[in-house]
Parts: sequence; C-alpha cells; structure tokens
Amino acid sequence: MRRYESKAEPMPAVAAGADAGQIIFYGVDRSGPSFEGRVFVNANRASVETPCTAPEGFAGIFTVFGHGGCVGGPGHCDPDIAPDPDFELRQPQGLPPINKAVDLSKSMVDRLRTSDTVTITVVALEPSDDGPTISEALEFDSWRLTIYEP
Amino acid sequence: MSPQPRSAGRPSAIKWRRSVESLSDEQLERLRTAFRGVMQLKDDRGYWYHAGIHGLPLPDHCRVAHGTDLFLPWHRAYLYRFERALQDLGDRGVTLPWWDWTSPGSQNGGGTIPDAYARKRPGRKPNPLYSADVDPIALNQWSHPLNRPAPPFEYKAQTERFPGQASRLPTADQVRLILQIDDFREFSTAVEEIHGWVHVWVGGQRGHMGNVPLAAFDPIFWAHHTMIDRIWRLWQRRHPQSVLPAGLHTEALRPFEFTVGQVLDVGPLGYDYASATTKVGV
Repeated sequence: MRRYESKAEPMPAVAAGADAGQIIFYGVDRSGPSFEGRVFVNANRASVETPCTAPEGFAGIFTVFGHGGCVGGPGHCDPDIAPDPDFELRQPQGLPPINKAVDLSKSMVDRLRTSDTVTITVVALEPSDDGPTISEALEFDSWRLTIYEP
Repeated sequence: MSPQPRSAGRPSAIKWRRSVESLSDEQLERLRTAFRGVMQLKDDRGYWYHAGIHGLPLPDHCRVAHGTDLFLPWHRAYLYRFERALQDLGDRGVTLPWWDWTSPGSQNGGGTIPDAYARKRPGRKPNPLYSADVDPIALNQWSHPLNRPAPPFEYKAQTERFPGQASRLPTADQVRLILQIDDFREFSTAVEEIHGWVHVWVGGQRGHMGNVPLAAFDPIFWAHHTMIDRIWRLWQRRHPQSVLPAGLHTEALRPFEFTVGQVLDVGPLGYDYASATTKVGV
C-alpha cells in the first residue's frame, strides 16, 4: 500500500509522569524494495509533502532494507511451514516479515495524554532520482501504541 | 568441532581497526592493494565469493541475519572472514576500517561519502574502494527471477551509489542513546534500524547498497558494517553484565564455521578497535 491511515482509536489513559513510548508495527514485509515509513500521529492529512516536524504530528521513521523481490522459484521466500516442528533444526529458510518500532518523544507522549483518540498514519517513501517518492511497498499486519511506565 | 584460533587472545597478535578518516596515506594504500588483490581472485578466496555470501548468487545467507537476534554476530563473523581473506594475500597487518557516518565530515552538507571511497582515480589509479565489479551470476539472477516479472530496472555491472535520495545518516546523538540501552535484543534492533538508514541513504534507488541481495558488492559495505561492529564492541564494553537471549550462544552462524558464542569476544578473533594506537620499538 502507498499510505496507511488507521481509524481513530480510543486513547488509553497515560500515567502521570510517563515520558516515553513506542509505536510498534508487526509483520512488516521486507521482501520488496527498500523504503522508509514516515509515521505521523493524529495527522490525518499527512503525505509525502508533510514536514517531518513535531507540530505536524511526525513521530519518527522506520526503514526497511528490502530484498527487492524473490528471485527463486515459487515458494522460495515464503515463510517456513515446518511439517514436523518438533524435529525442525534448521534456521528459517524463507523471508518472514519483521517488526519495526518508532520511539515516541516526551512531547509526543504529552500530546497523546490530552487526546481522546489516536490515529496513526504511515507514509511509505522510496528513493528516486527526484528525491523520496511514494512507495507501494508498505505492508504490515498490525500496530500497537505503548506508553511506558514512568 | 569448531576450529579454535591458534593465537587466541595473545595481545601481541591483536590487529587494530581504525577510522577510515584517520588512515595514513600508507595505510590507505595497503587497504587498496588488498582490495585490488582480492578482487582479482575469482575463486572462493575472492571478492565475488565473499560479497555473494550476503545475498546473490543464491543462497542468500543473510536472511537469517536481518530482523533476527543474529544480526550483530552474523555480520561480525562475516567481517572476520572477509578481513582474513584480505590478509591472506600477504599483508597480515591490513584491517577493515570503519566509516563513522556520525562524524562532522560525514554529516557535512546532509551527508558525505568518505574521500577514501568517493574518489574515482586517486593518484590516477582506479580506486578499488570507489566501485567494484558485480558477479555476473548475481546480476543474472537479479535480472531473471524465476518467480515474478523482471525487475523494473537492472543494476549496473559495477557498483554505483546515489547518496541522499532518501533516508538519512544517523547522528552521534542517536548512537549515544542507543549505547545506553541495557538489553541486548533492544540494542540489536536499534542498531539494525540505523544500519538500514545508511544502506538506503548510500544506495538510493538504483545503488547496490540499497538492496540486500547486492549490497555487499559495494566496497563501502565493509566500512559501514565495520562501524556497526564497532558500535556493538563499544556497547559490550559499557554493558558487560548484559546477557544474551537464552540459547543464542549456541546458534550456528550459517554458512560460517562459528557459533554466536565464538564471536562475542573480539580478542580470539584477533582484532579490536582503536581511537588511537602507536607502537614503539626499543
């Protein structure tokens, strides 16, 4: 996908004194081209032109160092399906997805503290001769917002 | 049984890795000579063989080394093997330098490739650190995938860089914060993240460094990963009490003849990192 925008999810209460958190993306595909994911919070209109600054809701980036696609035959890069996992001694043979995390600054945590809802937007960008351009490579299963104990 | 180094831990045998920015002209020329030599070998002592271990030609062994707890130890074993291949050509003192992309020189103007790797013909001789031939078997596998249409573009037969088209170089402050992390798994994940920034920053859209299967053909790959290994070494010095995830010590580092436990300590591997070193004869 080119861009991900979540629904407005209820924002859990943030403990007094909490000043650190993460947005964790699970099951991020890395089989395609390399790209960077710019992550915005409560910034529904975020796009490739949106400045990566706190007032614009920018939370951080994650970068996927990609494989550029599978060169093998059908199934070559599929995540393993071990027929008998009790006796599977090999290391992973396929190319399973990975998890990525973006650390939240204190100011972003403070901002979330006063918000009833949270919306996550990810804008995926690939390098090009004209600078970063929108990418189709973004795929992931789910995300989690965590605010850590003070 | 895995081999044990013959000079395990002997201080006199330790070789020092240095910042590429601090190499003397003589040290830099020795490095270039070693790269030229290994690039001329087309068997399993040569550049193509070692670069190909990371990705193409298949099998692409590094898939166990990205996005896993093996990221740091796998690449340490990889650097060790390549550095030994450079030394096998006769200059036992040559070592892999690190590219400190956080240095003022590298951060200058939004990012700069070090001069040692950026100059095409220093002294009117081709610079083996500027670009390398790519194994044609690797290029052929990239261009003729079995499982999908041909890729949207073909990589050149000599490595190229398009720095700054996307991503960014990590800063010294970011590395400082990462070095404060206590937990190995969190530390490894954070280092792997900024490592990806550098790959994408250097390679851009069509540069080999930005694509896992071909990245190691670019000579700057080795300086980048030596920096990553150095950060791990700095972290190990600062967090000696940190323990690895259960079971990681005995994990094999395919295709190398080591386990994770065998590469944790750089002493038996025969190298360390020096911000300054001098040897005085008497």
